[in-house]
Amino acid sequence: MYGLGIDIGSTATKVAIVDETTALVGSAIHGLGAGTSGADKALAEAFEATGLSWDDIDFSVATGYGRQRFERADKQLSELSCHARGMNQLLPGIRTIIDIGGQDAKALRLTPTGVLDNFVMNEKCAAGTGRFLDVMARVLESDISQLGKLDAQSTEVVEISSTCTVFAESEVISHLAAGLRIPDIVAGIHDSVAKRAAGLVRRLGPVEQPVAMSGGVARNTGVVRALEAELGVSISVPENCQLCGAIGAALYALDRAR
Amino acid sequence: MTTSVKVHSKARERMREFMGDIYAEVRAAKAAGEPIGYSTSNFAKELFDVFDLKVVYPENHAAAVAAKKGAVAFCEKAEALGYSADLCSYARISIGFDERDEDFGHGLDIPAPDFLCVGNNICSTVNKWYENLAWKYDIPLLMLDVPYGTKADFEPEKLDYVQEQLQGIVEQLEKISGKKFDHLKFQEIMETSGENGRLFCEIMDLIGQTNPAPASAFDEYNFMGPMIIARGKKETTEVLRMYLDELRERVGNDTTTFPNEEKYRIFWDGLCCWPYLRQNSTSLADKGINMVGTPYTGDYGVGFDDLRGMCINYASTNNAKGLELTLRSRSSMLERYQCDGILCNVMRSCKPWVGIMFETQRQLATKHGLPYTTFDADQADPRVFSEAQFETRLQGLKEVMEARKA
Repeated sequence: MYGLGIDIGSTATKVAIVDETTALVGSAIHGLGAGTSGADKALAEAFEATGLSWDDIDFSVATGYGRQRFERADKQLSELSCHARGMNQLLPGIRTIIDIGGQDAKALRLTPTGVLDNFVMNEKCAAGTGRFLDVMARVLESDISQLGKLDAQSTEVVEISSTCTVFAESEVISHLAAGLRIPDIVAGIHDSVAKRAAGLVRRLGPVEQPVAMSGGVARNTGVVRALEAELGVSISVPENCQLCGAIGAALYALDRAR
Repeated sequence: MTTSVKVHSKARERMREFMGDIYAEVRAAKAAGEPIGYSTSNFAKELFDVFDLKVVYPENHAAAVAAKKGAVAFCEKAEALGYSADLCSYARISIGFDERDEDFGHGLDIPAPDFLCVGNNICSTVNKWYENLAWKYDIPLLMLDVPYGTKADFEPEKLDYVQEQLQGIVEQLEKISGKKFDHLKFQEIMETSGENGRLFCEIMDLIGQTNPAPASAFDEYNFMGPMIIARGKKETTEVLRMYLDELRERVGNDTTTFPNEEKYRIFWDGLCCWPYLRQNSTSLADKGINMVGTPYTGDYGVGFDDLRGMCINYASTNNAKGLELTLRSRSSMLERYQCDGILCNVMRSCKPWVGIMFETQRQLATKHGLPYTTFDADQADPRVFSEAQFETRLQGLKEVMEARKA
């Protein structure tokens, strides 16, 4: 028996397949999101890796920004519930999740039994999201995957005061023109993202620990460093942080298959 | 088991007819040389009818224009004149509409004003908006200054201050209309207005306190119209009574116009989102979520018996109340209406409301243990709304409510 979860985000599509024991038997991450061929490609990769096909899937759940337009799924759920469920599987006992995705950021509070209890999401603005980091990486002529390493080399953090992506981009360009070190600017960018995300977490009330991060941005150790400093708590990041929503969706699918 | 039904509401039909008549009467009065007023929605409106003055309520008018998908062109016109896109969208639509090059249609074309009445109990942007109109047309501007309710109860000296201003307003309206104040007529209008406030409150409570509800509180947005533009009129009493009878009949035979099984009951904070009313209400209904109460329409559900009561009514508007008064009224609705969650329209251009919205929700969520979510939108500017964002947050709220009920 297999449950499939597909998390179609704004910038990437993630697929997870779990078997009847809830073990993750297959997964794929493709760097194309909603409205593209990303869903087909991620599914093809996941099926190729496992030797399974759509016919082997007993139930499927779609989540993420592109969930409503993915008609092959048997059910669709918001990414909020799916991230909560996925995290509870990856790191049981987590009470607060910070998920920074391509175009939104959210803070989730879970009950002691791992059920989504409440959430707060960002305003309709790219500030503090993965898109913000994409734009900054481009200005810095860096790859997004290198930002964490650059952050670790910082010795004197440069403050980025603009929260607007467009204005922050200009600010970063000014700092570059002034000859400031790229690692220090990167650390400032991460502090800026962390302040926005921490604001969401605080809106949920006193921070319930333990805290974890999910989503692609969680792979950026600089953001995790900045968030830990801003919130004054330790933050865990599961190995499959980017698959968290897809795994949650797959587990919901398995529930239905049973 | 409550059955969903589709009904032809005679109350709604009658309301549309007489609301259309009011705009037609304004145009006819202007053509006949009578002075036309523009007024904010919660000015001491009862006084206009004493002098038989015809008045347009630009907020109501802007909402109607937005509901007819006309907002963007007029917002852009106002913005081209130099008004910031961060200003109230009702103001921008109205200012742009006033500069229109051709008739808008839909029975909504209104003449230019000859006098203006502004009450700052709804916000302070209206002061500057109306000052600019007064300057543009060189016409009188009457003001009702309502102090902000910073404490947990209405303060007597603030109510005295509001009440004392009415004499001056009466004198100015006598000059504008050329008529003397008729005390008996005023008493009669006050009785009608007070009764209409009570009837509207009864409608809100019948929807909110019946579980499952006989309708969605989206209906209240329609019936709020007469309460804004014709609060002191007998026709409003007639319409509200008709609608109340329809609701009572549905409660009696266990039917509802909510088109789905009511699984969750929510409270909607903020104004409604006029350009997306259908999308919003359909999306809620599809998920089995019924919006059973909103403080927006609550502005009109206050009855009164005397002048002091009328002053309390106009000091009770959402944006005249500070945090403590706001929490008290919201808490009462959440409890009486048995809500499972709260949905907040973070209206980018309605600063006074949104200013205390987050702290209000934080305290309400703590006190009542209810989940809430927000979405970015506006009351009338459609450019500030994202359907995907609305859907995700509403679905998330539903899933939290579902988990809590499980």
